[in-house]
Order: sequence, then C-alpha cells, then structure tokens
Amino acid sequence: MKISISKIIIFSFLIFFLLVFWQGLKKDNSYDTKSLIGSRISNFQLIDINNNGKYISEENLKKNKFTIINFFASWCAPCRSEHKYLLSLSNKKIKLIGINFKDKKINANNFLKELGNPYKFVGKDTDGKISILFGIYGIPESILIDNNLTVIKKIIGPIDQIQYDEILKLIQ
Amino acid sequence: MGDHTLSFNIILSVTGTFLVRSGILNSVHTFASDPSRGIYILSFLSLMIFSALTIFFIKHKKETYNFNFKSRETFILTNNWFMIFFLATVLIGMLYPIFLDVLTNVKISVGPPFFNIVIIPLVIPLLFLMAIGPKFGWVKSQNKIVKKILFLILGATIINLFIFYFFGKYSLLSNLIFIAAIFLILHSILEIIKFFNKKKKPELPRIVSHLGFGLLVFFIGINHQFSLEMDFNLKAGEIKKINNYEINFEDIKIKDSKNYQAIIGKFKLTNLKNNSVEYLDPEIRIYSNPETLTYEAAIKTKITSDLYLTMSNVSRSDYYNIKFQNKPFMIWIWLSALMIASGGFMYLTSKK
Repeated sequence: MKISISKIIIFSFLIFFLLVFWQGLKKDNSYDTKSLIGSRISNFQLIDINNNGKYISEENLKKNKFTIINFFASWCAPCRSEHKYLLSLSNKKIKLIGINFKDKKINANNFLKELGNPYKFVGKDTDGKISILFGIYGIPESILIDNNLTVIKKIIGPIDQIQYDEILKLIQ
Repeated sequence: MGDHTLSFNIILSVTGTFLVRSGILNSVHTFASDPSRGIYILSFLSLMIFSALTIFFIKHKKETYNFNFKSRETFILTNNWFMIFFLATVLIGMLYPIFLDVLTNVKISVGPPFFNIVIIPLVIPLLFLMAIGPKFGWVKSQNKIVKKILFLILGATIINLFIFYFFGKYSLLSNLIFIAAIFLILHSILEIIKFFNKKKKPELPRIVSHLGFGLLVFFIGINHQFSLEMDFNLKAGEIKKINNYEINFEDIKIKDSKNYQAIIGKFKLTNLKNNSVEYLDPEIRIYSNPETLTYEAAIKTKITSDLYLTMSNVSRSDYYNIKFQNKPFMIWIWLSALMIASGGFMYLTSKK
C-alpha cells in the first residue's frame, strides 16, 4: 500500500473519532438527578403560560437570593397536597417559579385560581422537554437554587412538613 | 464496489451497537448498557475499521463509468443520494452531542424536532422519484406516462383530503407527505396488477419494496398525526376517563423475582365505543445490585392500534404517574418494513 497524504488524513480522522468515543465512555451519561445537587443551572428560558410575550431566563433568577422551581400540573393529584406549603413559602424570603408540565393552559389557570397562585412567574412546558434539563422524572418535583444558580436541594414528590422545614432551614 | 459498501454497512451497524450498548449515548434504545462492555465493542470496531480500510486501499482500483444523465441509473443514483443524506443526518444527530460533550463539556439532546426538520421535506421528492425513476428510459410514450402520473397524483390528493376531512387536521407539510406516500402506494399497486397481467417485465422485488416504503411512510404519518398520549396520576381503586377509554386502576401487587422486586399495577381498559375490555399490567422493577429502578411498559398490540401503559411512583404519595398512549397502525409500520426487506430477499433469490 502506497502511503499518501489523503490516506494519512483519513486514518488520522478515524483515530480522532475513536479517541472521542473512548473519552466519551468515561463521561457519566446516566439520567440521574443525584448529581444535580451542587451543579449550576444553565441554558434555559421559560415562556409565560399565557403566551403574553413574557419570558424568564437565568438572568432573572440571579436577582433572587433563593428561588424554588416547582414542576406542577392541574392533573397531578399530589400537587394539590403540597400547594399549601408553596403558598406559605411564597410569603418567606424566597421566590417561586412554577413550570406547568404537560398541561392545558385553561386547566392550569383554573388550578391556580382555585388553590391560589404562589408563583412569581408561571412558565409552560407543554411537551415536557424543559423538565428534562432539570432531571425531572415525574411531577411534582421542586428545585431550590441560590443566586449563583447552584442547585441546593431537589425534592422529588410533593413537599410535606419535613421538606418545608428543611427548606426554611436552608434559606436562613 | 459492492464489497466496500458492505464493509461500510457492517462498520456503521457495529458503531450503532457501540453507541446504544456502551452507555455513551442516552437514547430510548439504550437498554442493557454497560461502559465496560463499551471498551470491548470499541476495540472490535477499531479493528474492523482499520482492517477494512487497509484492505480497501490495497485492493482499490480506479473504475470509470459512462454516465448518461437521461437514464434509470440517474434516478437510482439520485435516490441513493437521498438515502445517504438521511443516513448522514441520523449519524450527525447521534454523534454531535457526544463530540460536544467530550470536547466542550456542554450537554445537548437531539430529538425529533431536528430529524423532522431536516428529513421530512426531502422524503416528499424521494417518494415521487421512487415511482417515476424506474419508468425512465423505458417508456416510449412520454405523454402517456405524464397523464398517468397526473391521474395518480389527483387520486392521492383525493384520498388525502378524505383522511384530512374525516379524521383530523394536519399541517401543509404533512398533507404533502401523505399525498406523496399514497401516490407511491397507488403507483406500486398498478405495477403489481400489470405484473400479474404479464404486461410488464418482471420487476416484482422492486415493486414490493417500493410499495413497502410507501406504506411505511404512510403509516408513520398516520401514527404521528393520530397518536394519543396522556399523563396523569392515579392511585389504586381510582378510574380515569380519556377520550373513548376508561382506565380503571384495579389493584397493585408486589412480586419477588430472582434479582428484582416488581410492583405490578393491574389496569382494566374499557373502550367506551365498543365496550371491549383489555387488561394491562405495567411494572416498576427494583433491582438490588446495582440499585436501579426500571419502568416496564404494558403493551397490547392490535390490528388497528397499540395501547401502551407505564407507571412510575411518586415519592411520599399513594399516587402513581401514569402515561397512557394509543398509537394507531403500529403493527403496520413493522409489516411495511418487513415488506421492504422481503423485496430485497426476493431479488436475492430470484433467477436473473
């Protein structure tokens, strides 16, 4: 086989590909929310549920000392049980952002009208794709972040008295 | 040239095996993945690539072709370019997130929006070319063929309008996809009739594969447009009504298996239109070593649609997150793919 520049380029290109694959094997690619604690939230933008041109991004969250991002839906029964704790938290030194998960706008608005609206902003995630960024398995789930956008706590399932007390302790 | 294409195909197949079985890629097809297994597959892949490429460079001889633009070969070549484009799109969509993660530490996910935007518009000309291409260079009367094509497009448009009007509305692009797919199906059916009337040269393998491809695109389109997907919560003993279905979460039981414990839900699905009843049993499996949760879907396959039900637990709650899907003509998608493959087998086994 004659060695030529084109052959060297092809072989080098393939070696590069295989090296990337080899490096990729060392990366943790599992969809696990445990690793979310301590990591920073990035690259996200939420559009208002009522399509009135409002949106929220990382820059808005940096202004709050603490923010809870809560994933909810009108069809989610356990979301109802945690709602009183969310309303109570909204009166503390904490801002709440709601992400309405795979829901209809009218149902979500009725849900908030009936139980009260604890959120400073309600964004929509109609097809559930934004929730993937936050490592959401199912709802309700909540994420407590600080003004550096670092995840301090992740609550899988509805917030109860124990979780509520823990959140208050963390934001002191 | 055929041998080299074969090597290329096998290398790509092993690359696919590596991607989904090593855990390097998070995909719906990623099951039984294991990074330590990935090292072995990667070693095997490297060996295959370098040996195949070395043999190619040693044995490769330059070949010259007489290329006639107005020929069947032009259409076959054009369709091959379309197929290569689809292959490249899928390959880039799969590999780009891995390269980005390894080289820049940025994680992205590539899903249906990317593939739909890039692939779907080009499926339309491909379907038309599949029907028209084999005619080229054979036909004595160009007018006759143009008339026939126009007639078939009109037929396909009428059938599409019927589906659009009676079963539901969809986008302009989807309309074009349906028209192109129905056109190829009608064209292939006419060719089969001609074949059995012995008015045409025997080209059954190609016709069967083309009919299969038309049906595949048609049923994927129908499935995409008319699928029903709902997420909701239920606890044992509760009932939920969705469109024509009543979903009764009757009971829950725990079963111990050799290496996992399963939480099994018993769901009774009643179709309120015809009162037919189906039972589905989705599972949550808790493996102990290593501690892993998996969610096993319950699937009921029927001629007209597949029913899927999955359940996942909600922490500190009696409720379960339920996902219910009704996907029409799922089995027909598989049968269409089988039809495409059987055309290939017919060609391989036919006397030339």
